[in-house]
Amino acid sequence: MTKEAVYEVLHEVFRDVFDDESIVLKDQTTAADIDGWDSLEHVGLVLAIEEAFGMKFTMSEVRHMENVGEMVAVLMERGQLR
Amino acid sequence: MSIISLPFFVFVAVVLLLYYIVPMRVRWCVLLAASAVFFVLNSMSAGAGAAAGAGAAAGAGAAAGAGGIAGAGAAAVASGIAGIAWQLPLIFLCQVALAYVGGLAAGDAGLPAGGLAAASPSGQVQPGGNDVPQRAGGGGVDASHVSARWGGRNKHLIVTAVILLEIAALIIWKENSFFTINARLVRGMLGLSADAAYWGWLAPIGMSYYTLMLVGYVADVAWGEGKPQENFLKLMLFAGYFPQMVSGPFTRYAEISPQLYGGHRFDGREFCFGVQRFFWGLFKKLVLAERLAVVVAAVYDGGAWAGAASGSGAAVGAGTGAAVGAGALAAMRLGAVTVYGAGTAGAGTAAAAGVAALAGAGGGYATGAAVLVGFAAYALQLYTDFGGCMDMLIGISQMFGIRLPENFRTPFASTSLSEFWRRWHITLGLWLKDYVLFPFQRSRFAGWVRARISHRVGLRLLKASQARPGNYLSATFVNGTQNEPGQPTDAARKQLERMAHRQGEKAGNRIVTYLGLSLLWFSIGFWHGGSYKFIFWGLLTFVFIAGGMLLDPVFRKMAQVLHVSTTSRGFRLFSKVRTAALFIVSLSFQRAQSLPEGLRMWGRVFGAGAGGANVANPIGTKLTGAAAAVVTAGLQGAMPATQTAAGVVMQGVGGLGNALWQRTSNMDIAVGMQGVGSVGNALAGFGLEGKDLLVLVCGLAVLFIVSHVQSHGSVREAISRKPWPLRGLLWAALVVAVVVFGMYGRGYDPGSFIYGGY
Repeated sequence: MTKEAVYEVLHEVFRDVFDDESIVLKDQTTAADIDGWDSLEHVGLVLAIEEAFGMKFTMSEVRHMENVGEMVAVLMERGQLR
Repeated sequence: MSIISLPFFVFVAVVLLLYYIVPMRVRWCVLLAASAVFFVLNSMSAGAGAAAGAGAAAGAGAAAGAGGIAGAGAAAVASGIAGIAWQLPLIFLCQVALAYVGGLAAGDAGLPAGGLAAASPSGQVQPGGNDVPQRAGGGGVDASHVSARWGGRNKHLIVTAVILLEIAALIIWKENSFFTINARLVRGMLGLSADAAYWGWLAPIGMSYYTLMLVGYVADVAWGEGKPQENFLKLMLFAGYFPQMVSGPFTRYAEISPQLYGGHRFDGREFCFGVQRFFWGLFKKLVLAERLAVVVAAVYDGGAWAGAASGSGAAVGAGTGAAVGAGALAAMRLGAVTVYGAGTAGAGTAAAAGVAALAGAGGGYATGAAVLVGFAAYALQLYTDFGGCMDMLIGISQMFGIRLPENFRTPFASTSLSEFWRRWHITLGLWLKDYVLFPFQRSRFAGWVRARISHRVGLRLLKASQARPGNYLSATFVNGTQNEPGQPTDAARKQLERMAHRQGEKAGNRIVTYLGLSLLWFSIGFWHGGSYKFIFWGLLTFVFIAGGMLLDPVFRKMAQVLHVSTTSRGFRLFSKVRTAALFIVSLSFQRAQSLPEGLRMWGRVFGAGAGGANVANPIGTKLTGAAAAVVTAGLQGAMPATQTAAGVVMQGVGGLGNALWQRTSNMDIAVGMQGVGSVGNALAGFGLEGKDLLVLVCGLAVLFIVSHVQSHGSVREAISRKPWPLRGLLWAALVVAVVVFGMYGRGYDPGSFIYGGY
């Protein structure tokens, strides 16, 4: 997938999960930048992304991805649009 | 071997010397040998202690504390100890071997099919032949298609079996009192005599810590976080590194292993930092924790309380008060045990006897605000005991150049209970998050729950909005976006469906999160010991945290309505105090002799079941046991506890709190408010002399000032930048403070740490 396509879907997922239409993502965006992105919401977010992209993250990805750029890199490689 | 003893200091000095003179390549072997010696010495003293009774105090105390059977006499506990020294290293070795096999099986195709026997630690197996890139994210190679012979299914089975066996070993050796407690309950219910005996087994030192670390190691390998360790001895060092054997911190294999095996060049600065850190921990433990232990024991260990027995008012004169305090203190020193177990109970009785003799009053139980003071003192004791222990251990490790992860980050500056727990016993929380919470949230079961809930909630919302177009879903999402109300277009209907679906998903996620959190908090409780008081403590914390999450919108609304700025200094301070109060309330059960006794103590806060001649309490008499605890828990929102720097004075405010306050003013203990000057008589019940109290208050002040500075960066680094005379003076002052004000000496053993027993 192209980076643009990943970002488009990712924006939708983030805005959904965190109930905030104003969220704008960048590669450097981290959990600290988004209100409500804590370790509890993290798994919920991951699940929503997995569903949207029809893929599964590995456990170590779940744990280590903390900025959006890393997430996007994985998704560009393994994500598919439904 | 206590880590606060001359033999241990000599031991560390010798190991350091050896470590830095052998070649870099084999430095890890020195650590391994030292860890083996440390482990064996501890097993020996644990075994010998059971017979001789000297060291037994620590071991039995731990067993008693964990099992909640502190009421049992020392003799009973000692005679119940079945384990002997040589079993302990054997258990440890078996657990490491198990994890070793598990790691190899999880990691790669190196194991021949059905070759479990061949995978014994003898080292014939050569895994890693067909290395698969393990870093996930790199190739995204799923570890399940490693080999046709060694399919993912077998791997999964072995990993699961290994992890279950490790956990089972921990439960059987460490938390077996839980079986007895339940056996007694069941027998009681069946009308049989409830006399099932405690097993009283000895567990290896550090078992609660290294078992979880080994489980984490196997899981990590299975998840593709790293390669398995092929050298059995190296894995042994990971599990048994001696500074971690006393009470953690938990480390992850991938993070600590390079440091453990790599060897370190001598670095004078690191070494000095290590020594400084060690003394800072020693200060917390010997000067503060040991004094707080006296206060805590006076409140928690029944029969030792002098204040309640003296009736209303300050009947105990200043002179007598001091004498009582001295008596209790002397008893503590003679008792040779710090906190838990029969030794303390003995000391308590001795103190009570002293009280009876001196004041002419019988022993009793603390009531009213005095109990709250005891609860707060326990929170501080734990912070200084466990935190001090961590400082000492991390300091020792730093002398070897090995940086262990931090376990505390100024927790009392937290503004919510969940934040508090992210800054208190950090490594345990991280372990449970990684290996319990996340796997649960991603499990098939959680997926099933999530799907069910979201389907149902979504459907219900959709139906509700179709039936009543004015309800919030349609009002918000249909009317807000387009058209006249009640006439949704196709697009609007679609959007409505999507919103309902989304809300349903959210509900599903939330339920799964709460389930996961309750599992996590149950685990935290049970990890501390096989007793209902620990489980209750864990679940109470869960209730507080989940309640906070559920009520968060309400709180926000309230703040809005009341025009309270949630970012103001005042509100932050309020949040900190509230957080500390919630923590103290939940923690109060951890130190109680048992869950029923903990509930009774809460009853006594409100006057129920008070032993002494107390002023009648219109509320308290109606509140007993569980009811009192529940009411108190519910009250916390309305009852911010005011904590002084010393953290020892609490007063209730608000509704029921007002009544409570009326009452505390009648109590001799309320004098705690009046400062150190007139403290002599009224604080007699707490068992501390005025002098000791002064040291305690000043010490705590120093602690909190240093913590405050810490939040802006490393204190040791800040000090190291100062000119040398000032630097020297500061460190000399710390050493002198420890030597002069520390509680130690002949016949007094401060060596056991509370978290050594868990």
